[in-house]
Amino acid sequence: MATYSTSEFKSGLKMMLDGDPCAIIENEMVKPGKGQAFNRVRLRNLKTGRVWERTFKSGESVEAADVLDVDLQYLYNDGDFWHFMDNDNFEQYSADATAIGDEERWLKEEDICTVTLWNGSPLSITISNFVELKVTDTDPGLKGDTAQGGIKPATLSTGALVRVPLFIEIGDVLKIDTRSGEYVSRVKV
Amino acid sequence: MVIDSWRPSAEIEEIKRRAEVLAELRRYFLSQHVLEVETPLLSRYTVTDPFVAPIEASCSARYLQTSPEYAMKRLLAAYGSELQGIYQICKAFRADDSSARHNPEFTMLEWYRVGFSLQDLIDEVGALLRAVYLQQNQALHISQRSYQSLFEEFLGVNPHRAGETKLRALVSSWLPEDSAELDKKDLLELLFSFGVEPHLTNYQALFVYDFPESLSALAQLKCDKKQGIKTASRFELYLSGVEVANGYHELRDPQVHLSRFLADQQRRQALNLPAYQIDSRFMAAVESGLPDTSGVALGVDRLLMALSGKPISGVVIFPANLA
Repeated sequence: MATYSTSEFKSGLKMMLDGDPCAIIENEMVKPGKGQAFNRVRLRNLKTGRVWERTFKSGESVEAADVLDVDLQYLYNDGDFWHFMDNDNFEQYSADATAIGDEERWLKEEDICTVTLWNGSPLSITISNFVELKVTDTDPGLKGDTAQGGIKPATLSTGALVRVPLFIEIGDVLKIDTRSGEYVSRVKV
Repeated sequence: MVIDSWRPSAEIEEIKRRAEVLAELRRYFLSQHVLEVETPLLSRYTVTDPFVAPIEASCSARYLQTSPEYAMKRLLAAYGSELQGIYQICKAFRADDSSARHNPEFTMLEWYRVGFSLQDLIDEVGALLRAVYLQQNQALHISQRSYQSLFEEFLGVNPHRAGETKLRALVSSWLPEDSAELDKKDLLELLFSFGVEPHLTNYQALFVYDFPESLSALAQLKCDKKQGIKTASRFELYLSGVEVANGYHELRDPQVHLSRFLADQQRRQALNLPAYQIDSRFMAAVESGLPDTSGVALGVDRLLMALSGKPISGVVIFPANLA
């Protein structure tokens, strides 16, 4: 079992805490001149996303978490699981709804995304900052209204609902910023 | 972020500031007739303090000094009656990890004043700070609070009277796991670090005085008859919440020295820490008689951090990762 000592602590280090994989956000050594040293650590629980604060006695060891990020291609959803493939070795992974979370609305077949694996299984996914998705439903735009600042809702192929300019039509492909969920531009196809 | 690993981490303005501040410190002590001295960096003995870890020099069975305290007190035992005080600006070494405010090798200003009470020395540290801040064209506001008043304000208990069970219960909010191996001294240190220090950032310069008996180190004890407790004649200086100096009305009694060192050794053994011999040359000097003295050690790098607002890597030319 790999372990990390407090002297190896730094931001980004992945470790096990209360049975969950966590990543260090911030590590601060607290050492009074005459007193014992402690490490005050802020960690993100990689399963729940919650931020924890913990104190360790300096010199203590903590179990390392077998966590790594890989770029995988999204294949399909079978109703229960989302399936991904590593294009380098064709190894396939299946992720459950907890791992996919809210990202489902941006997940398009054949797109590449970053999957965080814990002990070889998907723990969470990170979508690219920008995705291109087709409009499947929106109210008809008004002719000649392209320059106005009006907006309307549009449904995308993944089911996501975004606010778009009035000139957008069904069948258009849109560039979306997945961090804010906002429309960026129309993509010429 | 280090781009070139051969370059200093400190900018030239901070390197110049260090030189100016060192010159101002020496000017101050010269004006007060405090004698500059040099004592060994390599010594046959080191300290017994459980949580002061020395660095051993492998070739010569010597330790790099963790502070010049013992050698300076030997000098005072020999010539104290002829001196108003002595000071030293030197490197001290401790085998701790680096952090934003720690470097294993650091610059220490340590001085002793013969015939000074603890308050006399607090006043002098204040005067020295004022001189340095004036030289650097910076304003300085100094406050003074007792350890007890801070502990009561932020943790709600009297640190002199609270028993171990009560302290352990308080500690559990920072250290939820086993605190069994922490003794009363450790519990107090931890509570002060986690429960009080974060609030001290509001004070530009703060002297904390009259420590609990168990944190006396080499400070004299005094009786508070009103409360029926003993307190340690010790102070610490915090600049914006960072510990910068530690001073004592120095202990003189050889028997008390011996019993505190033996307690340190027992504690080291209990914690499976390396054992260190008691410095017999220092003990012989104490037995021959130390003058009535107050003394203080001040971290010069920490002072420069407060003046610049930078972490230690911004004020030390080559910190440990570049040394």
